[in-house]
Amino acid sequence: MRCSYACKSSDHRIARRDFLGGLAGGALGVGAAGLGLGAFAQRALAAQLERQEKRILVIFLSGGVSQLETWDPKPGTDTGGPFRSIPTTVPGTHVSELLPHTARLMHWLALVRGINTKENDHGKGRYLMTRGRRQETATEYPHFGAVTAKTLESAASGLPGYIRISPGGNGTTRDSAYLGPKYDGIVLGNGKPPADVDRPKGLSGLADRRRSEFRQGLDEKFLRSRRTAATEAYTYSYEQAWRLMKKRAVFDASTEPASLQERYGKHDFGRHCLLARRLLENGVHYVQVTHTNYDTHNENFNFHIEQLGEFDRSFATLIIDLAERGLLDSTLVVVMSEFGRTPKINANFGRDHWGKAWSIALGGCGIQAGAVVGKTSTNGTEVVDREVHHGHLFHTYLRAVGVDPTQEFVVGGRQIPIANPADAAIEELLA
Amino acid sequence: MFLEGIRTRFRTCIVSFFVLTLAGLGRVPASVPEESKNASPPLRERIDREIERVHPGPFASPAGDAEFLRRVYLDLAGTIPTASEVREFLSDEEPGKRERLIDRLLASPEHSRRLQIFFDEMLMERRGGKHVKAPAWSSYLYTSFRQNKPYHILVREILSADGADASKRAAAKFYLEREGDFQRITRDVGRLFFGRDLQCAQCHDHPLIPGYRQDEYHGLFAFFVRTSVFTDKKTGAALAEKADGEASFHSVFDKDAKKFTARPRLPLGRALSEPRFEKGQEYEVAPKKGVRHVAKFSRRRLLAEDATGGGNSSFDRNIANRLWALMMGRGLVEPLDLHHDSNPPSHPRLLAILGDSFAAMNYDIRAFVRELALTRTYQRSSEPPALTVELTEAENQFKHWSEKADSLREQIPAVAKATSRTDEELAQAEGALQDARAKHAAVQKPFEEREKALQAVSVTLDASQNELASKESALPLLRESLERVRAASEKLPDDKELAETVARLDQKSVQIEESVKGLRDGVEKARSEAAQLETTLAGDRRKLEPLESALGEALQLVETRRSIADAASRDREALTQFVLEARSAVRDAEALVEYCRSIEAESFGVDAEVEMTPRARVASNRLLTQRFAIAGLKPLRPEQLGLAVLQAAGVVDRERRSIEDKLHAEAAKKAAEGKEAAAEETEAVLVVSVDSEAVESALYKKLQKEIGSFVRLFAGLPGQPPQEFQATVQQALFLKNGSKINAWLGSGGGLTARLAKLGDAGRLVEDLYLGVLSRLPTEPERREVERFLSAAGTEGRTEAIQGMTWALLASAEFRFNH
Repeated sequence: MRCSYACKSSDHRIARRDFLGGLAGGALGVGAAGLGLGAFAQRALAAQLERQEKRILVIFLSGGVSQLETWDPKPGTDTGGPFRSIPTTVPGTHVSELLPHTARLMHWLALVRGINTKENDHGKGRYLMTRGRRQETATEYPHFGAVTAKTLESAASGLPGYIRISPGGNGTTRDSAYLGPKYDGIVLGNGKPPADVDRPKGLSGLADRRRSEFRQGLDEKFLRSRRTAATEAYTYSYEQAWRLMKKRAVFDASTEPASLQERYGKHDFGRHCLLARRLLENGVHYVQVTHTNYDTHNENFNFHIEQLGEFDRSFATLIIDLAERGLLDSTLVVVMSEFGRTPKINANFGRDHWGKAWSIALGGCGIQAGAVVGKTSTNGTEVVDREVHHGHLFHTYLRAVGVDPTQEFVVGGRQIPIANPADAAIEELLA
Repeated sequence: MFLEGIRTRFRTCIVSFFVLTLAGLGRVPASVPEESKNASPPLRERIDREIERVHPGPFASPAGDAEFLRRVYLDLAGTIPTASEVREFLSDEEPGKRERLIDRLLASPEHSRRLQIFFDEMLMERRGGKHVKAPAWSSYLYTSFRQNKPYHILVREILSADGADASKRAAAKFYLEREGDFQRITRDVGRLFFGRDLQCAQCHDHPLIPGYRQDEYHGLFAFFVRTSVFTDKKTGAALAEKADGEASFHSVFDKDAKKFTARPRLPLGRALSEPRFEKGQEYEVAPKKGVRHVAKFSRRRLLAEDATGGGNSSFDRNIANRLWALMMGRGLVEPLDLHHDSNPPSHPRLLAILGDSFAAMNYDIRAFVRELALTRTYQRSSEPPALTVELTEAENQFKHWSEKADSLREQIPAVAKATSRTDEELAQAEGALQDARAKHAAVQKPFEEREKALQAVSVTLDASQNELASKESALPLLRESLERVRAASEKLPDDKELAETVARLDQKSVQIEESVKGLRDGVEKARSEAAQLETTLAGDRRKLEPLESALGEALQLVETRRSIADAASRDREALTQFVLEARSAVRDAEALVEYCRSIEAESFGVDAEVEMTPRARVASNRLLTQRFAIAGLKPLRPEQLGLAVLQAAGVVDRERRSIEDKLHAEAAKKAAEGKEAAAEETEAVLVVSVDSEAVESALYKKLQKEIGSFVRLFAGLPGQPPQEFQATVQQALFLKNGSKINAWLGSGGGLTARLAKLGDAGRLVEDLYLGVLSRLPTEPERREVERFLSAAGTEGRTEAIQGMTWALLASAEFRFNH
């Protein structure tokens, strides 16, 4: 029987991807399910997988957003500040009046109001919120995005698994730790497309295809008897590059209808949210959009009016857009920060760093819509009910997208639990 | 051949076990089986024998010249050969050309550079240069390898460095860049120098690896527990060390949190002792605010000396395994930093040989690598052989070895029991010895006191007797004088003086008489006292004699039993080793079965004519690579890839020429300035004055930036242990669309422009393949290139040449060292 390996049909590509997953999947490879099945079954499986794909969107409000001006307002108390609270679409749940658009979507979201991370340092707070673990000596843990890219890895998308959209330049996130560069995030600085995604100037499409075919011909001969898991991974990376180039247009949000662009907002955060939706829609498993800067030691209230004014409208538009496209059910959305802000208002009308009693919002895939978990005291100075921290949240996020956080990564012969085994998910948040 | 290997091995085990049983019963010391110790063949031969003993075969055929050339260039010089080097090597028909090439490469500056990069990656794991800048560190490593500094000396310098001495600061990079995180440092010292990642044993014994114990971790941590980072604003960070502080720990699994204190101890070593200083004398520089304190005794220095002093097998095997992996593509133990009993080496005996040999070679890296490069194992082709092993044969072997392993395993309890019995007997003998010592002491002590008393009495007696004798002899003289004076006095009754003299003499003689009497009594008393003591002593002596002989016997017994117990424990160790080997034989056989089954399942039989499916091929190649039956494919490290791309594209040649020209010009200028000599003389001086080392250094410096762009994209993340090969989409995009690559393919390089000028298509295709893939094209490849060129036409000719060059650079054949 001659090998039909060289044919370049789409069937072949799926089968080969599954085959790779089976080889390299370790404890978690989704692709392992594909081993031993015939081509038809594999194709059906791939299609099914694609429909079931889960995604994660994190909006990171950098600098530390005030819980009192957002998810846990305390109007009329000594710490409450000047803003009122407003009712939401969930009876009994109020949020700050700075979030009028989001308030109307509360029935799709849930709040965690009893977070105590005991951490008031920006770097350390960011670390524990995005990695689910406190910083330790001797071991660095991978970012939530890298964990997602690894655990939700599948055949379906031609795009990278972990993308971050933030102000600044392009590059990679360099925070995949022991999961390796393959799961490292790609940074779209200010929404710019990734590096080298365009064909070099002066190289025609035809010439590019010809040289690629010449390369494939060489590889076929050389690898016929020598192929290994590593050579398969190498040749597959060109296929990925080719697919990414084909999807290059995904990174250009300017083709969206003007009215939609208008609704998202023409500012950076609005554009980035729209880009995030396009990425999620095209199968990127983890997208993080950074909105900066909430570090309001001075003039907390003025800054929050300004910042949240941008956030509220763009975020609400994004949620509605995802829902309308049928993506919200399969997309976990989390709005987080490195910490909250002090209930005590300082002499400069500012609030300072505060990890002791603060909130996040989340919703979509796997989350109990409308839930409010945890409670702070009347003036917000401490958690009085259902205290949780980053570790519990991390377990919860993963459970929400169908990943068992008690499983382990197998990295170079070592087994490392995906999430800290000392913590557990917040069950009442899970749908 | 395979069966022969199995038989030899089986026989070895049986013979050894027979010896073992004898040793256990008849107290015959276990002897070293097999291989007489004199007449040891060269290391390369011992390596090949071990590899060929373990694998059932078949093996890949020897690599062809071109395949070997490219491989050995990449491994030893870190880059690919130039087209002309390939041509020259292929046309060299003198025997021994491979060995000559190996020696030439090992002596080249490029080889020192290659080791510099290898050890930098191993030791620093892509950390940055905050405390010691890259150039200083690189130059320290490069110079070390250029001098062929033995490995243990290098490690000693690194482990004992504190960074305070500016001239030796570079060596402190290992510690300083880890930013005073001494848990991290403990882990990394364990991983990188002993192959033992003890991280999970920090808070409790390792839950999954029985051999990784918490006291081992803290024994290593104890070397660092007194060290801290001291930062001087001017000179930067350096290490300070206190004279006190202990590594105390408790297991987080222990509810009572019982505290232990770990003495400094190497992995698998013994607890080390350290000198004590009087209070106030412990410091060279005492702790004080604003100064770096230095204890007289440094635990870090103790670590550096003990680790590198020889005799620690985990230290030797770790580096032997790493250098093996450098050349062969994978370690005998994988991952490289997880040596333990549940993760045994693929070739246990070979690893022992490598570790011992490297130590015996005085840790000479160049000599060791040379032996590896000269093995048949290293020089095999990466093209797998046709398959001939039958499934049934494999299954028989599996069954056979499983049974052997089981039967060996069954012997363990008996041997263990024997060992514990001999241990018990030893303990009993030691107890008896202690009793005998106590009893002996009970008599010995008063005996000694009495002896002392007797001596004192004799001394007094002697003195009294002497005094008595002189007084006794003086007395008659005195009496005589008395009588005479008295007679004279009676004749001269009025002489008062005389009368007084009589009275005085009388008094004196009475006095002496009394004294003599007293002395006589004293002597008598002392004599009787001495006699009494002597009697008692004689009695004691009688009592002591049997006790002394009992003590001697007890000592003898302890010695005998200790040697028996030692022999028994050696036996147990030997058996454990045999079981380990049998287990690895079972694993091999099992893998063989799996291998044959997978081939059968995938390709309807083991007929070499039938092409295997890709999946079977990958599985089969994995197995063959693990057994070193074929040359495994090694992904080029980022620096190798960068250099190879630059070399292939013509950038290196161009830069080298310009450097050589510049050096020539400089040398010419110098020569002209120095001496107004004849032109031809100057010319002669010039030819020799541009040395390869200067050119290499300048070239390396010049290409740093370009290589850096490969490192950024292709290397792992800082501080992360190396992982399995990963290919990312960004890498592919960089190679496909990156402006650098495409510039080098155009006018930025040199190769494509040169090729475009060649009118002869045959010459073009040869130069292309020699320059990029370091081999000649095959006939079909020649035709394909010609077709490609003619399809492009004259107008598209340059673009076509660039396209093909790109394809060759981007091919798997280029990306891997094969």
